[in-house]
Amino acid sequence: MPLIIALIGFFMIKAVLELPFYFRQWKAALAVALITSLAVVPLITILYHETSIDFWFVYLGMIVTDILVFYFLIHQNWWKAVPAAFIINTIAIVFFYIGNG
Amino acid sequence: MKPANKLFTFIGMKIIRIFFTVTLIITGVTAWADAGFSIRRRTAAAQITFEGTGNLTGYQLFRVYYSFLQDDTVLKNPFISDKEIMDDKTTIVIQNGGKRWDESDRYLHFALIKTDTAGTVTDTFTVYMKKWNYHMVINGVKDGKLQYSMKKSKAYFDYTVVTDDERDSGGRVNRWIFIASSLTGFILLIFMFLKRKKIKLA
Repeated sequence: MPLIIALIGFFMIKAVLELPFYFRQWKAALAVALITSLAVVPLITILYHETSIDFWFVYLGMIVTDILVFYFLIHQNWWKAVPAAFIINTIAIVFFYIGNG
Repeated sequence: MKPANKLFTFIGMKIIRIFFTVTLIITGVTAWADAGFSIRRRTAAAQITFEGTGNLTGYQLFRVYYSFLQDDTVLKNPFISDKEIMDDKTTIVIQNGGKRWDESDRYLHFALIKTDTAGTVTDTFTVYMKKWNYHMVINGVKDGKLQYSMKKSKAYFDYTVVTDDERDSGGRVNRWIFIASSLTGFILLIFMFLKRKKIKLA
């Protein structure tokens, strides 16, 4: 999958799925969606194609990172950050796998 | 204007500016990275190989048709004109050429044919070829039916995102583009984290 499509896909998945959780903080949520996509997608693409790392660890790492980012950068509420990070990253990693075969 | 409203306008402008800056970075960096290499060929052309064709005493295995279509009526036709005998050395690679391996799918039709003068077809089957490599292990023939097991493995396209070839500097450049792109994201995250109290994103 081309990197630009992976990035746009990740951003759209994150942006759309963050909105129900952080509707009032939608601007911060969009900014976080963009920046976390930029940080994560090139990294996991290179990990997927260039290393034999177990992607369960990458998946868990993405969830933990997003939990912290959502908590500290959008809204300080664990009850929102944890389910949001889990749902968003699960869908995002499925998209990534489908795209990369 | 109230101070609170001024503050909100300032926050809004700041976030919109961040949004556009990051969009520009993403578009530029990834377009550049994509120009260096393409991650479009995710699966290779599928191939099928055979083992144990020597067990077919009195029979021969033929590939009888090579088709785009699933519902071919060619197998009902007693006059098979296009055929190829399968043996242990045979490898059929499904490949349409070009870049788009995903579109290279075919239905391979096989027939088990008695080596008598009439050449009676006693068994037929179809293998759908796409994304998976198949290895057919033939055990023999029972009541005119082919006894076989099929092993499949994913047809990965043998490519590397970042080439290690020293003569090609593109690989190293691409690796740095990826790392720089990812680092930019993490640095922006750290920046947002450090500035979170002033910007009041929460």
